[in-house]
Amino acid sequence: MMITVSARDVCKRYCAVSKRSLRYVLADLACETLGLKQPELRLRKDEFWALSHLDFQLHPGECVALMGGNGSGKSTLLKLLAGVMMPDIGRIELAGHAAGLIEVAAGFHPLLTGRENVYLLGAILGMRQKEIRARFDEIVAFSGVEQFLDMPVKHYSSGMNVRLGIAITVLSHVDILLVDEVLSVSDTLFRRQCIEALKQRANEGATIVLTSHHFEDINTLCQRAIVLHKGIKIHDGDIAQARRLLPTTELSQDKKKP
Amino acid sequence: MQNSQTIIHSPAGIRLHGLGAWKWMIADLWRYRELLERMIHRELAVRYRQSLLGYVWALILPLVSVSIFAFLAHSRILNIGATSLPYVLFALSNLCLWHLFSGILVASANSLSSAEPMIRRTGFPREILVLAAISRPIMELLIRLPLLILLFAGYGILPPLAALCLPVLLLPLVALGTGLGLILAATNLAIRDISQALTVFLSFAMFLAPVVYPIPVNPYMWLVYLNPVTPFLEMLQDMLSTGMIEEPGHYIAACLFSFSVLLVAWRWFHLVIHRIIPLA
Repeated sequence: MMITVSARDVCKRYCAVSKRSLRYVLADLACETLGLKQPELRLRKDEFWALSHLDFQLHPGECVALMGGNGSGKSTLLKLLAGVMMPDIGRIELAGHAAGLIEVAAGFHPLLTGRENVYLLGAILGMRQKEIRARFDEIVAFSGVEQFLDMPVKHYSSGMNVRLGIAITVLSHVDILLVDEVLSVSDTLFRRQCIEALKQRANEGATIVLTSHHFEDINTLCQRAIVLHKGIKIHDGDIAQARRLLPTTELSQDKKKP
Repeated sequence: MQNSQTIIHSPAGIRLHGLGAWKWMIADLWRYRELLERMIHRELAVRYRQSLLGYVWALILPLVSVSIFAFLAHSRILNIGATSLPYVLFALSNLCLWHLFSGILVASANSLSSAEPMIRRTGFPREILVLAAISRPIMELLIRLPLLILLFAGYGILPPLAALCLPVLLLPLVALGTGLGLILAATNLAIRDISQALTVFLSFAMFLAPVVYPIPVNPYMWLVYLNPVTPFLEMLQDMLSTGMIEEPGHYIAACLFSFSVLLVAWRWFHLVIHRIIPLA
């Protein structure tokens, strides 16, 4: 079977104290600049492993839920997949382009209109202008902000911002789609619409990695769950079993659905 | 799969390539050329939205400085030596060149830190933000050009035809600015003091180059050559007055230096940026 994402022995360390992390980064920079060999990667003072020895493979058409409490390493993993950061040890191989909804509206410029921002965010997601033009009407219809397309997005409500951002990402041609919490901030109807669209993207062969606190979403969309705890993979497979592994605080979020 | 290329994120990956690294970096940039276009559009568009004068500001800065220096020179408060062109033309053309260079440095130094939310969440090549940022000072130069032409006409001076080569002759200066800008952008992302220090440094550096005064005679001549922009200023004055570069050695050395800075800086940027981003 084809593999779209392959993570091998992926580790990422973070420093908890910001002044010290600056010093560590400068030391690393010096090593990198002078071409010195990095010392065997160990934890220095105040450092911890945000991810440690992570191994997994994802396939085309697969929807995987990334689960775990706060600080378990979900966002770090998404950032590594998106190429925001590099792992400290190990490697991630991607067959195609990975991008996604790691807080959607980050690419928007407040002074640009909705229309201009669609093209900008589309390009950030690696789409050709031609492709965006071809899907433009679909994106706009999906987002439901037709009347405000030529208004600067700084006058948009936060909901409209999120919807437009999600619409672009969900309808983009990204091969590996990363979906962070964003879905949970929108209303139920729009969320369902997104889940349907994501399902369709998966049927077309895209790989979807989703983090969500809504088990309902996870259940309808995903066939597989990876559970992280303090940066370590503690479960990979069945969703029902994954749910039992999570602390009860996570479950309580499930109950306050809108 | 529409994209059959395999992308690898690994700490060894960016170091392995050796000399082929530049080929790889260029290919990476090429893949995102449409994003670069979009980013340049963004950079130029947001400049005049919500601003009454918009691009007119690009004219105000050199006009004000030229007026001040012309007054100081005319009133003999400053004793500025003889220039090949009338002083106003001399100073304005030099200031345009200097503001191109300093504008590139300032714009690129802030390019990454001002796009912090974006770089913390998306993975496109970060050079794009720096390259998009330098489109603004280049645009400003283009806006100042008609003013310069108008003043030349006002003085009844027609620069030699060879002056039309200036856009090409200035490319190495843009390369130098971009190279230094890449270094500034990356370091400013980690330590925000850089852009503050740059503003102070640039106002000082301008007087270390023959921008508002001609190249001094010995024994102080060597001082202005501490500034890598000096050979370009020399070249500019030569091209505008005689159409011949009088010291081709200086200019060629400056070109070689500029392109080396760009190549080394870009490679360095590629090596270190992924380490700086977690700090952003």
